[in-house]
Amino acid sequence: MARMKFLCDTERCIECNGCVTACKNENEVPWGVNRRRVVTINDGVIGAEKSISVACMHCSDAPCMAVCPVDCFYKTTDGVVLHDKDLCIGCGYCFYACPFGAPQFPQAGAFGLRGKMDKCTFCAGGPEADKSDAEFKKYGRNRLAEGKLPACAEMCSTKALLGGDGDVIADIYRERVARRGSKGAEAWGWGSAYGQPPKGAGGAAPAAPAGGKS
Amino acid sequence: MEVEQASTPAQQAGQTVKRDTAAWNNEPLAAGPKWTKGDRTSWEEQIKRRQLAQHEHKRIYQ
Repeated sequence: MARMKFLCDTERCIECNGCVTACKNENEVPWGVNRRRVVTINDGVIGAEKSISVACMHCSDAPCMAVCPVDCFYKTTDGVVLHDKDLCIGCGYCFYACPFGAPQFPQAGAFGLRGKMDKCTFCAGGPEADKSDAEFKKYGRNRLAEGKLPACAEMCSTKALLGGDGDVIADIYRERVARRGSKGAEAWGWGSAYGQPPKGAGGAAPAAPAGGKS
Repeated sequence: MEVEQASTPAQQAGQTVKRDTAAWNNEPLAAGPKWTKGDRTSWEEQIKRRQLAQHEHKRIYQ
């Protein structure tokens, strides 16, 4: 059974923002809303720069879904986390809960007026009729209903951003890490999360690639 | 809350119940990827084949 995920290979990301542009174009995302963005750490430090493309990660146990006071989120059988803008009240709880900053709000008005939350849909649209104008206006393109993958992953110039079934992503990433001698897995491993020095600095070996996790 | 497709978020008072059609329950585009409408397996198989374009060691030319 397909379970849709994203994974960004930090060894390949060159911060071209092709994924950002592809998403904006495909979904006609309005000004000020950044469904996808590229984050760079150690910017300007030669040899240490790492970039990663971040959008909704379609979490297996989504915190946005857990905190929503009107229960407007739902998860499809493919694991894509979507929400119903007609039910959304723009409270912003999902924004506070999300560790990736995926929820975006189109307005910055008085008294905390935010407008309806918008976020990456994995190019799976929303609860409106598939491929309808109403769905496109509210949620953007439904590429999954056309048998395609998200525009960002398909347009990635270096194939750093992988998107699709989690098992296939895991296979791709595992093969890449093996071919380049375990380079890249350390960004995702337990060693990075819990303070062990990265491999090559006399530290622990990198942990398994992220694709192995649910 | 995980719901089966063609199922809905919790109904709110006065709100219309929303339903979300599964991606495989759509007719394939004339010039696009092909699968059998209603057949989840065929849709998933073609998605996984399409994904191999992201894997340059096994790339297939579409």
